Amino acid sequence: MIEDLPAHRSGTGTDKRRVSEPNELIDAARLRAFVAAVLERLGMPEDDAVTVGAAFAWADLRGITAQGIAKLPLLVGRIRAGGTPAAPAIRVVAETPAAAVLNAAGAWGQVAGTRAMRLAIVKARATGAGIVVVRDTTSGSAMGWYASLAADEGLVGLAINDTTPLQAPHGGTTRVLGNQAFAIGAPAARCPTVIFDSATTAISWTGIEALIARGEPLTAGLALDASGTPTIDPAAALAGILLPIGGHRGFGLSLMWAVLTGVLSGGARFGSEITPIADLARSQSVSHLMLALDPSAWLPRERFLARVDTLVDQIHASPPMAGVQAVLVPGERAAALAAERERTGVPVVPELSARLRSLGAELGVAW
Amino acid sequence: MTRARGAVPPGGTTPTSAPGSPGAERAGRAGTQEGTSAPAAPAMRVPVERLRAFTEAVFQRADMSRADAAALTDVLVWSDLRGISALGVAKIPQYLGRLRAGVTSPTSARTKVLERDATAVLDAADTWGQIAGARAMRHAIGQARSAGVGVAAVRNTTSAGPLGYFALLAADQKMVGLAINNSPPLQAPWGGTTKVIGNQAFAIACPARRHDPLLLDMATTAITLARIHEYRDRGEPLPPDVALDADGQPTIDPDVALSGILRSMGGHRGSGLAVMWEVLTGVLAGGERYGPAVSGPDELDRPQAVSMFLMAIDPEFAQPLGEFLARVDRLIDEIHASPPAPGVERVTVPGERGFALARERARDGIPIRAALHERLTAIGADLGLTL
Repeated sequence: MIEDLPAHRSGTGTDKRRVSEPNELIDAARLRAFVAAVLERLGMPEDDAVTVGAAFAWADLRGITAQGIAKLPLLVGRIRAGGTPAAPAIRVVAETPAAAVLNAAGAWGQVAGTRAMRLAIVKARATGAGIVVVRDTTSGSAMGWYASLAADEGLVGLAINDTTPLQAPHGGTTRVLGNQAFAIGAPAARCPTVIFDSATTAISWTGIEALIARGEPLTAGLALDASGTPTIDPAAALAGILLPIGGHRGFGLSLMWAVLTGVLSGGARFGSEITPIADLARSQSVSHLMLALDPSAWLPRERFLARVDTLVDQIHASPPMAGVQAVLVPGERAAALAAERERTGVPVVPELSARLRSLGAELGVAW
Repeated sequence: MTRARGAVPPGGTTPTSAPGSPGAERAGRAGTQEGTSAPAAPAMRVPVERLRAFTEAVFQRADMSRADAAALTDVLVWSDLRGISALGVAKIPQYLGRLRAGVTSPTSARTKVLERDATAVLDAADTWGQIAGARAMRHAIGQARSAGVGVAAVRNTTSAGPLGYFALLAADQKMVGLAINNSPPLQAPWGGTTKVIGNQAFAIACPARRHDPLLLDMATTAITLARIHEYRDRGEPLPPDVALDADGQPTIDPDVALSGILRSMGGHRGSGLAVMWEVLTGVLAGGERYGPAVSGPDELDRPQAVSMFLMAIDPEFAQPLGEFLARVDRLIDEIHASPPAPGVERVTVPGERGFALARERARDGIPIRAALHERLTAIGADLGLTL
C-alpha cells in the first residue's frame, strides 16, 4: 500500500477528470465474486482466486484504489502472457521451527504472500514468532492486507516487499532500490486493528501518475530527474529518481528492508534487477517478508489487546491542532472508510467498469 | 546563541567535535567554517582503554559488579568511538545520579518471565538497558540458531543508549538484528499537540563479508535527543523544522527543544511508526507502564520503566551463509558505484561513517570536551581515580 503525503492522496479513488457518468457503486461482495470468477476461468485454483478477490476488495474498501480491482486487467494480461502462472506449484523450500522460505514459482503476490503470512501465523502460534520469506513472485500490492491477516487472528503482523527500482542511495543518482512498502498491524479489543502501512518513498509511482493525469506538478523535494537534479516535473520524476522519506534515514530503512526481502529470500534477482510489472511475460522476481508474533507468548492475549486499546485512547486524547478534526491512529481513517464502503459500495470509475465488463464478457463472467 | 558554523544536514550523521580539535575540519565539512563568537577550550584526546578502565572503576565504586560495570561501560565507550558522544561517557554523571537516587538498580537481576521456542520476556528489575538489552539480544541470537528467529522483550529497564550496539551484536554473529526501545513521551501523534509517544530509537544491522556490517541507527523523529545535545554542546542552533517548543511553536533553540516536542520524521509516517514501535516495546513487554507513562533518565523520582524489543534473524534458515553475505556485498557495491550527485563526495551505506570514525578514535583516542573532562576528573577525584 502506498500512503502518500496529504497533497498526493492518489489512493482515494477520486478522479478529478470530468466524466460523463457518475462512478458506479459496487457492493464489495460482488467485487470479490467477480475477481474470483474471472481468475478461476483462467485456471487459478478456487482458494487462490478467492484470496485475490478478498485482497483486492480489502484495498478498494480502504480507498487504496491502485491496489484494488483496478489491477485485475493487468493480472489477467500477465496470466495470458505467461508472466504470472495461474496455478504454479508454490513450495516450501527451506524450513526451521520459526522460519521458512516459499518459492512462489512466479505466482501472483497476493496468492504467495497470503500463503506465506498464513504459514508465519502457524509458526508464531507454535513458537511465539514466525518468519516466512517468499521469492519469485510479482507485486505484493497492499502490504496492509497481509498485516491484517495476522491481526485478524489476534497476532501482530509485519509485511515487507521489494519493487522495481525507483530510489537512488542517499547522495547517489542511479536507481538501486524499489519502493520498499511495508505494513505493521496490531489487533485491539475495542478499537479497530491498528495498521501502519507505508511506502519508503515520499511519493509513490501511482501518485505521480495521478498528477500527470491531472496535469499537476510535483511538490518540491520529492524527486530528482535522471541527471540527479531536483525536479517538480512528474514525467521527469518517472524517468528519474524518487526520494525517500526522511532523507538518508528513509533510504537506510529501504536498504534494510531490501536485505530482508530480496537478499534474504535467495531469489534469482534483487535490488536493481527487479523488473517492471508491465513486463507481462516475465516474473518480477519480487520477494516478500512476512513476520507474525503471537502476543500470548509475551502476556495473556486479553491483556495485550486491552493495552493496545489504552494506547489508542491515549493518542486520541491529544488535543488536535487547529484545522485538524481528530487525532487518529494508523489505519483508523482507512478502517472508517472501509466500514462506510461496506455499507454503500465501492466507487468504480466508468472506464474501469467498462473494462471489467468487457473482460468478464470474454470469459463468460457477468460484471 | 552563537552563530551557526555552517550548514548541517538535519539529523545528519556528521560526528561531533569541539572547535580547534583535530576533528573540527570534519565538523565543518558540510559548510564553510565561520568564526565562532565564543571559542571553547579544545577537546582532550583520551586513549580508549584508559577511558574504559576509568569508567568501569567508577561504576564498580557505585556498587556495580565487575561484569555489569564492564557491560555498561562497553556501550558507553562504543558510543564515544562512533561519535555519538551524548550517549557515551557524557552519561556518567546522570547515571551516578540515578544509582544514588536508587531509581536504577546497580544489580542486574536475571528474571526470565516467559519463554517459548522463539521468544522470551525478560524483566530487568530496573537495571540498565545497556546490560539487559545485550543479554536479551544474546538470548534471541541463541534461539535464532535453532528456530531461525529469536525475539526478546525487556521490561523495567532504562533508556539503552545507542540501539545500534544491540543490533550489531546480532550482525557480529552473522545474523540480522533489530533493536528498539521506547522512551518518555517526546513527540506528538500526527495532528496532535501534546507529547504522547517516545522517539523510539531503533537500529537494524546486517552482516556482510568484504564490507563492514550495514548499521542503520535512527529514531522516528526528525532529530534525536542525542543530536540535539550535540548542537547544544557546540552552541549551535538546530536546523529548522525539527522541533517545537512546549506550546507547539517551531524552535531552533536546543534547550527549548529539549523541554519541548520533537517533530516526526516524514510527518504522519514517523509518528505512525512510533506508535507501532510502542506496541512492540511498551505494550508487548507487559510492564506496568508504557506509552506516556515512561519516564526520562533525568527524572530521579522513579524508575524509567523503559521496554525493549530485540530480534535476531539467522539468514541460514534461507540460504548458506556465504551466499547471503556475498549478496549483501553485491548490494553494497552497487550502492557505492552509484555516481554521486553534485556536491556529494561519495555514496556511503548506513553505518559506514561510524565504523571509520571508530577505527580512527581507537587509534587516536576519544575527544572529550573540556567541560566534560573536568567533570569526570572531579568525579574520579572523589573516588580516588584518575582519568
